[in-house]
Amino acid sequence: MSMVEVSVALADMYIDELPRITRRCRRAGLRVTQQLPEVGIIIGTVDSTNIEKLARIEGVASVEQSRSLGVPPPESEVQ
Amino acid sequence: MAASRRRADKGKGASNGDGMSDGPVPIGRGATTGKYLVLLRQDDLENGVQALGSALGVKVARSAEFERHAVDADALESADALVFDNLAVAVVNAPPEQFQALGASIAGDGPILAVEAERVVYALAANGHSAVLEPPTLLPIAAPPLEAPAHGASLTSYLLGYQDGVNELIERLMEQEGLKAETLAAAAALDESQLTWGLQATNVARSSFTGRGVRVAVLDTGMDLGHPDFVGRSITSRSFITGEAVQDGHGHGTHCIGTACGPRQPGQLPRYGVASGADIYVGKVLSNRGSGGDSGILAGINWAISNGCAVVSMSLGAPTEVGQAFSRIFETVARRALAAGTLIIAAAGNESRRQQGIIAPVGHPANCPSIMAVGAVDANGQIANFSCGGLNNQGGQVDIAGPGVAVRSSWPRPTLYRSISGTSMATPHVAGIAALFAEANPDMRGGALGWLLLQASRRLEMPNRDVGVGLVQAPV
Repeated sequence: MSMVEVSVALADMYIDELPRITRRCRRAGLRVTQQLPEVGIIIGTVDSTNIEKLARIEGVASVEQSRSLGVPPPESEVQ
Repeated sequence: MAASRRRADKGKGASNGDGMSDGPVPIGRGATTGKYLVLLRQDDLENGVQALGSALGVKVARSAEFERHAVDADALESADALVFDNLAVAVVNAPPEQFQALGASIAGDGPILAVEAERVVYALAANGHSAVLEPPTLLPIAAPPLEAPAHGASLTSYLLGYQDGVNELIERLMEQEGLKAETLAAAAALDESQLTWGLQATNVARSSFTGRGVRVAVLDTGMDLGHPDFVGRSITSRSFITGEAVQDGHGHGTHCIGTACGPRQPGQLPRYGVASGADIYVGKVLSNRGSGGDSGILAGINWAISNGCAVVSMSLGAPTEVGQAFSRIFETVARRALAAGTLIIAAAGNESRRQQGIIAPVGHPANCPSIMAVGAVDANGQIANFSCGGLNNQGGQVDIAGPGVAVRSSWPRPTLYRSISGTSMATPHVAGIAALFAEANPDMRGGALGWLLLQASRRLEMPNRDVGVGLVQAPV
């Protein structure tokens, strides 16, 4: 069991069905933290072994684990 | 539309002059047909058509009279004046002296914008050169023969000849290189007493646009909301970092917002900001330590779209490997953003060490095809040592370059101003200029806005792997 943060993209055809797809994702083990209607994305945490299950849900186009991004510390000359 | 109208206004004098020239020019370069093209004001077409008809004393036919505007060759040939309604352009067959009468109408806010002699155009020949154009100047190379001659000259003399050819080529190229670098440096005069070099090199100083009414989102470490240079500005902000306020505890965000949206007259010269009239949307997606995650950035993009931001500037990213695919999630989101009228512009990344021969690929998420990736150049027009290169196809290209070395901009109090380098600094130059284009072209958003940036950029004598189409330029 290791919980990871994921972003779930709705397929274009399902973009207006965010609540329904969100329910399906919850049933597949996703703990939903955010729903982004403008871009058709659901964000949440899930057991890493359940990522495949999420990706197979009808209406889901892709699932990706969150990456960390950043900028160098303030004192750097190159940022 | 507004911009094309402005351009037409500017070109009026010259075009008008052309229109008055005598009859057809003989076949050759710049040949004309004897007909004239008249540009009418699109929002005042009826008055334009009337003015045209009464000035020339001819009957004016309209393309709208034809089914689906499909004007046939006969109609084109026989009509004295034919208006293409959907283009607001008329083709007029009348002797030059009749255009004198038209001259008076082409003044001020009249319905006729410009007159030009119609040119003769040719299909390109199979070799890619038009039949009447002189062949383009080819690379100045004393081309050595590709194969050693079979008879006569010895191998040694062949090789010597080859060596001469190569030497000459190198000399010429180096000469050119020096010249080009010099030209750009001259254009971006290093005198920064009034304007940063970046604003000079991108022509922002001469732009009449300020991004007024355009919403620009900068997704970064937040902003020093009390910076004296931003007093009285329209600022909307939101933090996507749990437990942290928008107030910038890092500095990076304040610097990027300064470049994209800083004031025309800062508290202390030089001026460093591009879109001084834009509405600022501060999305804090990186913590005060400068770190964040995909989810916060996606939420920030969603917020920018729902607030109608035309431009999203993202000076952030994560390194990628050669061969690594772009994020399908970010690509989907960027595509949906474009469809919603929001252009996302992101830093290519700082992982290269070019002086050591290392070029790193464009980072995530700038490597998505629907996100505009920005590389960094210095005041001499040379690629920055750290600037990532387009090593991965399918979106991994650098699309455009911006000033990204020794860039002065705002910094949180009490420091107020600071000069730093990075593709992070190049990105808000492009974002700010995108806001200028957005103001100039209210009908062009999303991909169309990006196209304007690419079209206007100043081509550089450098690989497109490094600088894309070239150095971003502001609309004048």
